[in-house]
Order: sequence, then C-alpha cells, then structure tokens
Amino acid sequence: MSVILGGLRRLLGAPGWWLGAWLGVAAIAGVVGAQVQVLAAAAVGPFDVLDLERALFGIVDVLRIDRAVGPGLVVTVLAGGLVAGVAWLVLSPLVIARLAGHRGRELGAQAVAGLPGVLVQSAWHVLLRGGLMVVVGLSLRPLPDAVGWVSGTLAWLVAGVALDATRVAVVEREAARWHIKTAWRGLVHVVRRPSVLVPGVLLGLGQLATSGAILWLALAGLGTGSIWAARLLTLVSVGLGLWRLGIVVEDALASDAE
Amino acid sequence: MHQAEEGVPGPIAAISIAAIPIAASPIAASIAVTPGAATTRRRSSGGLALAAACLLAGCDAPPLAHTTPVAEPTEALRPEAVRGAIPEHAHVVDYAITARYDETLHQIDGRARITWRNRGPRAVDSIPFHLYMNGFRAADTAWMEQARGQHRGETLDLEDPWGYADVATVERLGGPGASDGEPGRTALRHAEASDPTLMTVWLDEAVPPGEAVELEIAFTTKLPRVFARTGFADRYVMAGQWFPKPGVLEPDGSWSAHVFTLFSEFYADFGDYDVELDLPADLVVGASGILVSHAQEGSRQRLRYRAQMVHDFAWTAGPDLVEAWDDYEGIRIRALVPRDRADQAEPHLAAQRAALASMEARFGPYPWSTITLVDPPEGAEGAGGMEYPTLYTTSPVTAVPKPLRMLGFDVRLGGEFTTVHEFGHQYFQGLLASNEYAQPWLDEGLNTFSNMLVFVDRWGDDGGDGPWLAKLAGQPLGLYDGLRLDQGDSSELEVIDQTAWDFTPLAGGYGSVTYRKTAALMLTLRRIVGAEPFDAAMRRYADRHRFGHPRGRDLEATLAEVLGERVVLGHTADGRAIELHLAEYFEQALRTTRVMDFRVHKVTSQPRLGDEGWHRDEHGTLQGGDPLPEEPPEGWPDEALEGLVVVHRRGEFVVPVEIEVELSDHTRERVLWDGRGRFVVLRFPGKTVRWASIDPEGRLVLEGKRYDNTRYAEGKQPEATVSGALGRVAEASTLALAGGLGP
Repeated sequence: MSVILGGLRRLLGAPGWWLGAWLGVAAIAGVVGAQVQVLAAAAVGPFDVLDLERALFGIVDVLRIDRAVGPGLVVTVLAGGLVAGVAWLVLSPLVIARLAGHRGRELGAQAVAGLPGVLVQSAWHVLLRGGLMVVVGLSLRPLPDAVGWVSGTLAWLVAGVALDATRVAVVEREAARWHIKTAWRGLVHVVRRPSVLVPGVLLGLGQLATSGAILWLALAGLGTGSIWAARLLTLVSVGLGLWRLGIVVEDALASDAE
Repeated sequence: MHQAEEGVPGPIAAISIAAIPIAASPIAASIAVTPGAATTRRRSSGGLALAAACLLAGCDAPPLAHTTPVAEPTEALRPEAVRGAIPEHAHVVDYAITARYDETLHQIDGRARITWRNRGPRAVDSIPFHLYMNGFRAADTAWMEQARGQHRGETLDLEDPWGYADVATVERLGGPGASDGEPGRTALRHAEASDPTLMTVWLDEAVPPGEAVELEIAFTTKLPRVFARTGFADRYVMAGQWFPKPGVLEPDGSWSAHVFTLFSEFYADFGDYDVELDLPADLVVGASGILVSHAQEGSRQRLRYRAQMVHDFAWTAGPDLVEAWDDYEGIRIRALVPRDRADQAEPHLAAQRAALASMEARFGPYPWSTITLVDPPEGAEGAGGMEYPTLYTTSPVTAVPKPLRMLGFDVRLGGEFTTVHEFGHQYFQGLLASNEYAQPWLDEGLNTFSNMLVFVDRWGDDGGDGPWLAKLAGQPLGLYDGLRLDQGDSSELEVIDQTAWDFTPLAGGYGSVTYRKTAALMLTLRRIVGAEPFDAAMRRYADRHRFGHPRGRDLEATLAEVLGERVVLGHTADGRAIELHLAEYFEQALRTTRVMDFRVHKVTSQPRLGDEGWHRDEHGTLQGGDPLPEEPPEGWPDEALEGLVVVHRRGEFVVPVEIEVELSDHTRERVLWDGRGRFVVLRFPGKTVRWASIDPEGRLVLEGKRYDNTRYAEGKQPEATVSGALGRVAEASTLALAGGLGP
C-alpha cells in the first residue's frame, strides 16, 4: 500500500507536469480534430448538416459518398497517436526523473543521460511484448475468445509495467542501457513484485477503461456531445499513467533506500 | 458454452416465449437433443477462464431444456378452414420417390414415379425436365461459366467439386401390364440439352389437354461437397434439387424450362410428394412435408415423408444436429441446429414465430402444417440461406455479448434475419410460385420487402426511419436507412425486371438490384401512397395468386386495381392535382436504371418584387414614379425580401417529392412538387428561408444518397454538422489513443 500511496504522492507533487502532459495530448488531439473537420467540411460543402435523429446514417452516408473522408480520419488519428506516442517515449526520462524528485539542472542532466538507454530498451520491449503476446495467444487458442481477450489484455498491461520498470532502472539506477537483459530483468522484476505489478496493471486497466469511455462518449453523443467531457477524461487517463509510473519509481527508490 | 449437460435440469425448464413482443399463441418452445448423442460439450477451461468469458460474453443465454417434441402433424396441409381452398388446376404433378443415400460415395440412387397432368391448351408430346444438379457437373456448364468457382463467398472444393444427376431410364407406365400386376412399361427416349441442366423426354403418345401421363425415372445423383446450397460436408448432407423435375407448361401452351445459371434458382409446378428415404440410421433427418413412417433396419433407417401442394422436396441429415420444437397456431416448427450452436435454436425459433405472425397477417394463412429450419454445421456454410417448401436453411446468429448490448451496441441482422428471409420464401416463391429464372425480383425482392415488414411488425415504429437494424453506442441505424446504404453503387448498373441469365456477374448488381432495390421500390411506394391501401393491395395480390405462378404484370395490375392508376398525392396552389402515375413509377423503377436523387441547389433570398416606378392606369396614363427604396443600413427586413429555394432533380427518376422549409419566423411549410421538371423554384414572399429539406419523412427509400437533401441558408447555422461530428470523433479517438498510451 505504501508503494501505491508513494506513487500517488509523487504524482501529486508534480501537478504542473500532469497538467502539462494533458495539455500536450489535448493539443495534438485538437489539431487532429480540426484537420478532420476541415476535410469533412470540404467534402460535404454546403450540405454540412447532421440530422441528430439519424446521425449514424448521416455520417455513413457522407463516408461512402466521399471515400477520402474515412481513410483521412483514420490516418490523421493514427498520425496523432504516433506523434503522442513518440512524445511520450522521448519525454519519459524527463517524467521519470521528475517523479524521482530531481529538479533544475540535475533533472535535465538525468533525463538526457537516460534518453538513449530508454529508447533502446523501449525497442527491446517491443520485441519482448510481441513475444509475450504471441505466447499468450498460442497457448490460449483452444479457449473461448473472451478468455483470450482478457488474457491478452492482461499480458499487454504486464508488459507495460515491465517497460516502466526497465525505464526507471535505466534512468535512476544506471542499469545497462543497451543490453536486452535489462529489458528482461524489468519483466522478471515486476513479475516478482506483485505490490508493483498489481496496481500497475489495475491503473493500466483504468487507462484503457477511460479510453473506452472517451470513445463511447464520442459515439453516443455523435453530433451533440461536448468534447470537454472527453478532454477531462483524458486528464484522468494521463494522471493514471503517471501514477503507474510513480509507483514503479517509488518502488525502485524504496529498494535503493533499503 | 451455455449448454446444460443432458439430464441436468437447468434453471429454466422450458424456454418461455412470453417476452417475445409479437402476437403469438401461448405456446411452449422446447429444445431437445437426439437420442444417442445427447450430451452437449462443455469446455473445461477452468473456473477463472469461464468466469472471465462469462463476464465478456454475458452469460444470459438460457440453458437448454429437454421436453417432449411437438407431435408430427398427421396432415401435410392445414385444415381447409384455416388455409383456404386450393384450386384444382394448381395441382399439376405428383411424385413418388424412393431413394437410397450412400454416404461413402455421396450418391443418391433413386426412382421417381411422376404423374404429370396436361393443364395446357394443346396436346403434349415431349416434356422438358430440369436436372439442376448437373450445373455442378463440369467447368463448362452455364452455371459454372458464370460462377467461376465462386458462390456467395464460398469456393468450389478442389477434391469433390462435381455433382450431377444422371438419368438411366425413363419409362411410361400404363397400358397392358405384366403378369405380376405391375403396370405396363414403355421405354421412352430422353436426352440432355446442350447444357446438361435440361433434359427432354419424348413421349410415345401425346398427352391430350386434361389428361395425365405417368413416368418412372431411374436416376443417380452425385452430390458435390457443399458449395452452392447443396451437397455434403463430412457426414452432413443437404440434398436440394436432387431429382429430375418437369418444367412448367404455361397457360399459352409454351414450356418454361430454363438452363440453370448462377442467379436463376428454380421454377416448378405444385403437386404432392411421397418420398421414401433410405439413410444411415444415426443421422438426424429433416425434410419437406411430414414424416409418415420411420423404421430402423440395422445400420439403416427408412423414412417416409408426405408433402402436399408444394413444388419441390428437399431433405437434410447429419449426425450432430440438435432438435428444437415449437408450435404456432397448429403449425409444427422444428429446428435443426449444430450441437455446438444449440443455444441458437431459441433466437431462430423466435424469429420464425415473428415471421409467421407477420406474414400470416399480411399475406394470408400459411397453408402447410409444418416448417423445418436448419442451421448447417461448420463446413457446410454454403448450404445456408436457402429455401425449399416447408424446409429452409439459415445461418448462425450474431450474438452480441450482454455488456456490449448494455453499452448500446447491438445488431438485428445475422442468422435471425436469415431465418426471417428464408421463411419469407415460403410465401414469395413457395406459395406465390413465380418464375425465379424469368423474374427473380418477384421472389427475392418481394420477399426482402416482406422481411422489412416483419421487422416493422416485430419491433414496431412503422413511421420515421423504422425499427433499428444496428446500434452503435446507442446511435441507431434504422431499417429504411439501412436499406438505402445497402443498395450500393452497383444497383445503378442493371435493371430489376430482367431474367436471371441477363444479370452480369461482373457488374455485381444482382443482389443489390434484385433484393434491396426491389424492396426499396416497394417500400417507397408504400410510404408514398400510404401503408393501409398499399398493404390491402399486397394482400389482394397474395390472396389471388396463392398456389399460382404470378408474373410481374400481375403484381402491377393488382396494385393499380387497388390503388388506382394515378394516385393523387396533393394539389398545387392553383388546384392542379399532383399525382403518382403507377405505370410510370413501375416502368422507371423496374425497367430502367434511372436513379432517384434530389438536391437542395440553393437557399437564398432576394428583394421582394415591389410596385415602384411608372405604371399605366385604366386610361392609359402613366402614374406613380416612386423611386426604388434604399436598402436600410441594417439590411432589408424580412418583409421586404422573398425567400427562395431551388430544388434540383439530379437523377432521371421522376417522382413527386415533398419539400419542407423553415422560414425566418420559425414557421415551417411543406410543398409538394411533382418532380417533373429538372428543378423547381419555391418562393416565399415577405419571409426568408432558414433551411430547406427534401423528403423530410424519408418516404423515398429508393433515394440512396441523401446527404444533400438538406441545406441551410448562408449565415444560418444548423444545430449539428457532419464535419463537426467527425472532427469530434477524430479528436476523441486521438485523446483515447494518446491518453491510453502514455506515459
């Protein structure tokens, strides 16, 4: 419990970072939304009207008439997601250093020093996570689809907490930057520490649930709902992610102290 | 995964249908498993896994219960007081068939004794026969030429692709008999046509009008691996079009016998069937008609079926079929579903009951005492979705997990729709036996139309956009809009009223034209002229042509008879009637590729026409000379303006259409336009127009593209926009993605 609360304290100790991360995500999403809106407005011209009682048909009608709108939306969203993903990756050493309590010049130095290792270890984790998903997928193939989905999601989240542990080890504990063993140790470490793994996975689940809620709100309120509900949920989602990282940082520093 | 073990009572002993929102009789549905193979499999994946699966899948499906099957009816037809009289002239051909199925060779050896009556005006000296199974005999048959190894997403099997019907002998029975009491036999000449799906039998004596001839045909039918409707898949077998059938002698004395092609389906006369099947003993069997006797003979079983006043006979058998029964107003419903989908019997039965309730109310009583629905097992998907008299095949139910349904995601298509559709064929071609080769729209299109009405009757909401077909986060997609989307661009390439042969597979329009566009044209007409008179007209058509072979012109004539040749829909301001010309409507919809498409071309305003300037008075003297008023700094008031709406008929299809406008004082007006010109200008003196909308009630189901049917005047903002909605969806998706990814 102390690790969980310690992680939360680290998050609440950096409210500006939380807010800043959220604003960054919101800005990227805002640009994506504006781009798609312009694309759709150009496609429908002066007929830019949505009958709210038949919103789904109205949207699909336009998507099939102008075949560029649908792919345009998907590509733009994926591009936004990619930009956000790269930003999270590059900035993660800075976030970890800040959650670890570094300030000022020391913060920058710690982050810059950790960045190359974090990039390399993140690449190793892509392989590790892929391998884990394949193993889970193959071993659960005879079981019902629902079991596969649940297990796959859990495996994905476990791999995420392992990545956190590896990144924290590289930035804060000067773990070997380049070797795949560092990535593997991150996975082994979290599997052996349920006090980190369980809250990490639960917070990851919370993030996924929040993302699902955001999408549901967007579809349920098609044409009418305010985007602010989705934006505020993203603030929660970003907070959950930072808390998850904070727990791993707390655990690492507590271990060092011991 | 939801099935109970045999003998273990589930919490629900019999599946109640009380919650089904249709007018159904107080009946009990029951599901049972065939003797000897009664246990349903339960996955042994562990408690946690099952709990997780339950959580996701929503373990709300009722467990199965075993109850007594609904008794086999004793008569193949319902009592005459219920089903009505059957005209004598409809009874043309009777069959007595004995057949033995060899499941090693996948072969049926049979003898068919056929009694054919000449209902035509002239003597007949030869009879054409359909050998539909020969469509699968070789790569160069007409069917294969069009299909090229593909049919409804299924691919021809490379190991067992071929099927055929080989006629060994044809004999005429009658005349001096042998000493054993058997009738005399005369061998008749027979020969296949250039396409082997047709065969001619030359009679030794012409059959005069009103007389009958009795033939006996010895045949062997080899089944292909299930590909297009018929065949085997491991031990499962679906035997459709498996015996020789005479063509149809039309009232003018001409024969309707067609080469079997990719889209042609079938056409035959009504009559009685007495069929004895010799099959492996462990197979669960379903067939057209009623089972009149059943005997086990070692490893074989002998089943005898009787069907009356039907135009085909099909049977199916499999080792892993689970049976479920139901009863609707004395009609025995029997479902055969694969063991691993046993829990889907109930949704199929519910759909079947809904279809019966709707179709009986709209198109008259179902005349037969039984109906069997079959969901072919895995590997036999190609047999799914096909109709035969009193038996049809359906497809698996699309089960949406309960949690998703709670979140507003749901669908009413999939297997339940297939059940409604294939049962609908019991009327639209089973009872109203149109020529599926000559006018495929008469069965597929009218049936699809009737399926839409089953949805309306089952789920309500006949106005507006109809009941929903699918929901996405609570956003409904309505029935009529679904039909609009489903017509597709290829529906503009080919006309509806053409023979099956004339449809070009490469154009890809057969499905969208024959099924959806026909349904859309019927629904459009219904919504234009009003449901009540239209439904009355359709009822008259159905009553008039039961057990007959109606043609398209019969439908058009009946609709014109009830609705009138010209339906007055409204009047212009000067009192001129705005009419729908029924013949013109059908001509455009059925026999041209004209597209129905309107657009609001312009919504604007201009200064109102004033009386300033010089005018002559009654003495011819120029009077007045008032100057034109200057535009006030704040712009012209509404009273000084004239609102204008220009509506463009973009498509070639001419049809009256309603236009709704909202004026500057927030009042709304509706104007009916006859749609004859290329465009119309609507004027609203003293007011400006905020927006205009074409066909606000959505009556024109044939109009597929509607995004340009509503337009706002410049400077007026709609409550919601497509671009805004899509922009928000994109932004929210990015927020979900980026928020879920980080840090």
